[in-house]
Amino acid sequence: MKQKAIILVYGEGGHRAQMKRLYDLIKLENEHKKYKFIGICENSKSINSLDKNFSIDPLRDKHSNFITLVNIPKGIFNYFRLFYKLSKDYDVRSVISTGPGIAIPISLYFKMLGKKIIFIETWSRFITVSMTAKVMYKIATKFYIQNKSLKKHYPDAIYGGLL
Amino acid sequence: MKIFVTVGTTKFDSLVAAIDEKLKNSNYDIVLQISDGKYLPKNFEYFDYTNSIQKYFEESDIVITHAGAGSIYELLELGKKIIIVPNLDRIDKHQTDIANYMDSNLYAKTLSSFDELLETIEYVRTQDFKKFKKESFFMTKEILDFIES
Repeated sequence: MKQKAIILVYGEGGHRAQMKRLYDLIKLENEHKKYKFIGICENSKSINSLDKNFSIDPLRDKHSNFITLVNIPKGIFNYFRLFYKLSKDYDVRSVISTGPGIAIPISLYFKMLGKKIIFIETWSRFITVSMTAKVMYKIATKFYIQNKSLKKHYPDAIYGGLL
Repeated sequence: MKIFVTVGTTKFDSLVAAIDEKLKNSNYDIVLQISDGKYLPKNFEYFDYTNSIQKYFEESDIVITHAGAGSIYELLELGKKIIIVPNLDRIDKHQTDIANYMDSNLYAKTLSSFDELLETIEYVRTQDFKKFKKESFFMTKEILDFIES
């Protein structure tokens, strides 16, 4: 029988910092022991305390739009290879992500399998909307914001405080 | 006066260069954390990363920080006086969001232009700022209960 799992998806920098804080909070809850927590991160910048970690390359380059375009086909292949492996090895119940863009394909895939998709918009947004959040707002089963001022952009969002 | 400069995990060469150039004749004691930056300071001590950044934060009188939310929240929680500089070297300009929020609510001072570095430092040195009260994340149990249901 496959182990129950929750996938945590997070990019580098602030996205990783937020997921680490969330996981520290998760570890304080009793339900934590019921699942294997599997991390999917960017550029091997993983959170070591998770049960298992996978790394994929980010599609977007922070300094060049050209490099971003070149990365897309290679990235998509790597994504599907990983998704297949995860579905095969685990009973995935949910995907929780703190962004950025890698949250989208992973969340879409598991949404199609009927899993619960949780997204937490980044703590750095007060007024502007992120590209990832615009998409994830339509995909997520539950969409959390960390700053109340974003409610006017996302009426169905749940305010959850700052990680 | 001790000043620490942090750019977080993304290089911010224009800030590092501006500080190296414009503050070289000041008598500030300046240390810079520059990530994988290509511009290497000639006039001040610097390093790429450190595991003990909190020590540098605590020992400084003022911290000049990129407008990364993680850095800003951590510094304000420590009660530090900070100058926030949005990293506009990046393709996405989202850092202006939090910089404007903190400045207009008087929790910190945001730097408008590198030309104003000296006067902004002097302004912050004597200014008192409002204390930022962080409301901590409280939805962890709800998320886990929802997944379990």
